Amino acid sequence: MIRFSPCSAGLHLATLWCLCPGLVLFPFVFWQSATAGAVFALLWVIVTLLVRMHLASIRGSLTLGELRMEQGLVFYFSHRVPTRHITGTLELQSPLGRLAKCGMLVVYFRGGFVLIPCLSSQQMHQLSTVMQGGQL
Amino acid sequence: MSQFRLEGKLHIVYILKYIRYGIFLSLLPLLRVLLSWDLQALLLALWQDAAILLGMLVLAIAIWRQSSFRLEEDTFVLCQGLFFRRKITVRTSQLAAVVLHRPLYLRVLGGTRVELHSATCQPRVVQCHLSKRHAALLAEVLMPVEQDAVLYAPSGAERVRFTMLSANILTTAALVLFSARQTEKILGEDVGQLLGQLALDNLNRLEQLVELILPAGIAWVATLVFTLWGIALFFSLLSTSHFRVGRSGGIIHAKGGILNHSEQRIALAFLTYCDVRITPVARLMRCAPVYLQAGSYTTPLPLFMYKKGREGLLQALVPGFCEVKKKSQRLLDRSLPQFFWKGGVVFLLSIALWAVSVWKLPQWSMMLLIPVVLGVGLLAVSLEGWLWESIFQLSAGVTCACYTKAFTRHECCILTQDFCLQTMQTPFTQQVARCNLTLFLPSGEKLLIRNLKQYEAHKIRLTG
Repeated sequence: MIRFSPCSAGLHLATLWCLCPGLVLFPFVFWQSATAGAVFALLWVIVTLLVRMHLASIRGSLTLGELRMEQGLVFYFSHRVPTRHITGTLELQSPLGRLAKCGMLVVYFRGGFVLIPCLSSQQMHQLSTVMQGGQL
Repeated sequence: MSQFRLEGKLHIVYILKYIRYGIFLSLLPLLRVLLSWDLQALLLALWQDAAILLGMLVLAIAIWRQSSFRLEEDTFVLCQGLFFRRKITVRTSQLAAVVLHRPLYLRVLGGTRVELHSATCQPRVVQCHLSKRHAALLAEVLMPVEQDAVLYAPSGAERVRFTMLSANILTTAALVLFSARQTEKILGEDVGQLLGQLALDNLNRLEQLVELILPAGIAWVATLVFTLWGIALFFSLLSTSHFRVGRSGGIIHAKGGILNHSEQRIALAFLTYCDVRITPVARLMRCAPVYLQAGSYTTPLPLFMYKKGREGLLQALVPGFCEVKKKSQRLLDRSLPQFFWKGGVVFLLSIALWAVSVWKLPQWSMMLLIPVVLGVGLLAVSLEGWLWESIFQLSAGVTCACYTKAFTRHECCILTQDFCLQTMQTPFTQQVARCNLTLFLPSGEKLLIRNLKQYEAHKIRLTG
């Protein structure tokens, strides 16, 4: 069995990605009024923190027959995907992700896909290899 | 099949796809000029249209000459396009269904529209027009039917019930509206308005008859619903004429229809589910339509009519089918709002509107009873869902699910183990160890079972 969870570098990167749109939009809101800008900044930071906490709650395992993943703070989600149902995987790494040695794994199955974000490169590669027929 | 090869050109009717709008646009001014009997303008319009049509015909024939199909050892290849060439390759071992459509205009021209539905998501369906002989040969090679034994062929009263269960008022209403708009666009506003006025006059005459029995407001709604239902029944009658369903080895074959003769061949190996839908009409008829899904193909019409005592016949058609027995659930902590909020909102809003109308607009009161009745119906189906919505697995690897959607209760027998699960818990359901379970089927469809006990969701095996 392989257990996986988000790495700290991946979480920091995800936090940065969440903050970027807010940084871009902030001047436009601040231009309207300083109070609106302050409220917008506060709300955006709170949302970013919640997203980070949600991503940090991801826990999963990969066995011979099944991929399981659980996540959630207030609303709790759990996914179960039989490994024979997996049609392909996609390892996504941005340039910053390559520097931080982390990325996101997309697992495709017949009828949909599952995103596993904030994984370390080593863990991402290990999971992808096993899902495509490698040994556990 | 390993040595067999079949290849050829697509049927010439394929070019209609490129020139049909051109034909309408060319003929329309011609028609107007003819109606106004202006011979000079008619001659000019004829020359213009001839030039336009000739140009489009040359282009369409050039496109057609570049199109072809080829059936190789284990693939079907379709080549299309003139400037941007497309080559679609489908593995024949991954085909879930082969459907042949022969509407009237294609039967006259000797063609068939062939649809190949894949067991996987992409490409979901490959569609092409072949000659009748090529289409029949292709279907026979891809999904051979060795015995033409018929298991189900409705006749007499059974046929009437089958026709009524196959009719779909909502789809018919949408189609009628769409057709009216398209007709108005093609024939012009004046002609469109004339035809619309003619239809309304006839509806008004019918409504006057109905007003002898019902109050004025309800009479109009009843007339509209009756007319749409009549149209839906008529089309259903045509679609289910000479309907036959049988099984030959691993293939379910069904054929029927007068105006649109269709033949479906479904591979049992890729059958996803067998869905018995208890609709309001099915409750009145005391029998329910059965729909099948294989890969990315869901049968547009029911393939069977199921009632008590017919399990054996359905099992002969779909081996592995099990009747979904309604299991009484532990209701102590089952969420009432989750099941009743939709029906409750509709019912309360409509009751409030009706109460206001009784006070302020008494002439609308009778008509506003209709949404009240619909709200009561939704509440009744929600009650069924609260009592019986569940999922359980049998030892043979078959999963049975019972769930409700709008006015219909679905009793679904899932014959594949190739599905994924997702559970969702809110803080309230976490306290009572319940969850919402979503099944992701291979076709991309999702089935939602609400407020299930968590241990029942965990019991579902995905492997072995």
